Amino acid sequence: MIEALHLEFMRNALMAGLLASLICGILGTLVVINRIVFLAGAIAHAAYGGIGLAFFMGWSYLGGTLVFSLAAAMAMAAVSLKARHRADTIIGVMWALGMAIGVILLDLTPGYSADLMSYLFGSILAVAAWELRLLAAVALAVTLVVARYYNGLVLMSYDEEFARVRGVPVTPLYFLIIGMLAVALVLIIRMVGLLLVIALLTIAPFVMERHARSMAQMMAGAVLLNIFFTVTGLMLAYRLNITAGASIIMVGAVCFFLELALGRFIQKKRSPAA
Amino acid sequence: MENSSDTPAVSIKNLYFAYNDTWILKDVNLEVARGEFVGVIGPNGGGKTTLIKLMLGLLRPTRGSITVLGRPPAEVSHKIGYVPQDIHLNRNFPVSALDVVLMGRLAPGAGWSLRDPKAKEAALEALARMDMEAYADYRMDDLSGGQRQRVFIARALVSQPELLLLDEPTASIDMEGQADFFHLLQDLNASMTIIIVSHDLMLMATHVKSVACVNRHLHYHDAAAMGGNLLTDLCPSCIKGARCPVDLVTMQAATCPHGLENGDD
Repeated sequence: MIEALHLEFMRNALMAGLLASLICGILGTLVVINRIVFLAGAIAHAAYGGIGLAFFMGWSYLGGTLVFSLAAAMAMAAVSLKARHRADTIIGVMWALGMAIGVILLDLTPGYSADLMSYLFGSILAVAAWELRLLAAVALAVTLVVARYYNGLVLMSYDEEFARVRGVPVTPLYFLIIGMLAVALVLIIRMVGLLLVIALLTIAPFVMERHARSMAQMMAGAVLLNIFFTVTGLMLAYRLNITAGASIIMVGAVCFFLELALGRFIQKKRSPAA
Repeated sequence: MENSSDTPAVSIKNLYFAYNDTWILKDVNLEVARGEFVGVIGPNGGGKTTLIKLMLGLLRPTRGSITVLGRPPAEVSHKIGYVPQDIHLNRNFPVSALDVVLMGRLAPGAGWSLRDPKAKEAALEALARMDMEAYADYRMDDLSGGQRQRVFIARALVSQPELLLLDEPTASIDMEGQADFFHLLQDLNASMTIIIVSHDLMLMATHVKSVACVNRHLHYHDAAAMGGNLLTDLCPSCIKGARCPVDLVTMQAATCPHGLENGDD
């Protein structure tokens, strides 16, 4: 692994993985706690429509995808607030529709052959330096925003009604979370792919939920776990010459099932006498 | 700005509330004086929780007006202590009892820090008042239903409210715990107005000062109108058709205390 780091593309891949770990650990905690994993999956998939739109219109990849994903994400957020009991169905429709739009627009774009595999697994070994800088900026922004609104986020995630009574701007904060999620997903998917994003968003926060004593602890633990998944997975990928994204997911999945099986036995003392 | 203590705790005039074209509350009039201890009863779906949410400013009346402590509810939310039904809460959420109580210190527009020593002191004090200070560092899902409920009351008390609203707070507490709970509320009533939604008529009968029957319409029976025993002296229209207290809450539309109009929901 050490000798691999002499290669620039491996260093970039590792950096991209670490930044994705940080962003997904923080946002994933909010996603898991607020039970919007389905919504996050829908945003990640619908983003494919943005790729199609960008290529079809001849826009820049990032610009087109960001605009499309943000719009889709805001629409889904609005639906999940307004029509709670039908939200999962409507979001499911938008999930499929977004992908279908992407596929059709790519079909209609002359000279472009759609590469779904790179959407699924990303191209972490082809990450450019400017993309890393952009991802670092997003990581910083996500960290600062969550730190700034931490108390309101805790309150609304735990007890939305009480949060509203206390004057927490629940609806704006909800849209803010979803918006950050959309932007982060678009950037990270390009590098590590759709599948890894979902894994980084869900596995580590879930593993931490039972053992943390606060949301901040859960976020910190999820970030560390994600980093562990990423580093171990990349190492295995390099050694065994297998796909990096899938290998990272496998490491995470092993931890996930270990926690499910043994979690309550290895549960650390989260309460003084519990 | 400060309200004199003789403005009513809650004042509702000709209030109507509709949800999805169905009237939940119709022509409700209610004036709750300061220092009252009101029990809210009525069948499920009769509008009890809606009434509480209107008082909290979470819902706005379709027609009519409501003021709490002399102001629109949203403006005085920091003076209202609220204890929700704990079934709505996120049970797996990683949070300690102390942090839950600290949530009650979050005032509209103001910053709030977990490390603010004053807030922490107040939170510990509120926990102590509930005999829960030993559990400050426990995770909420390691506590029993009764213990959790005490933490929620501590959260409501930490902002030193003038009005305490409770929505079926005893649902997850055993019988003995419920009796203790009502004693506790009675003590608190010395310093604040309390409005509680509960199905436990037996306990309510011995502790509350007045009763509001809610079933589309609201019928208020205050202390002066009732004799000693709430159960037997409860206005006849409330009891009509009910053979035992349980009937009052489990009753079908046909035997509802104040009758029911055009269909339930």
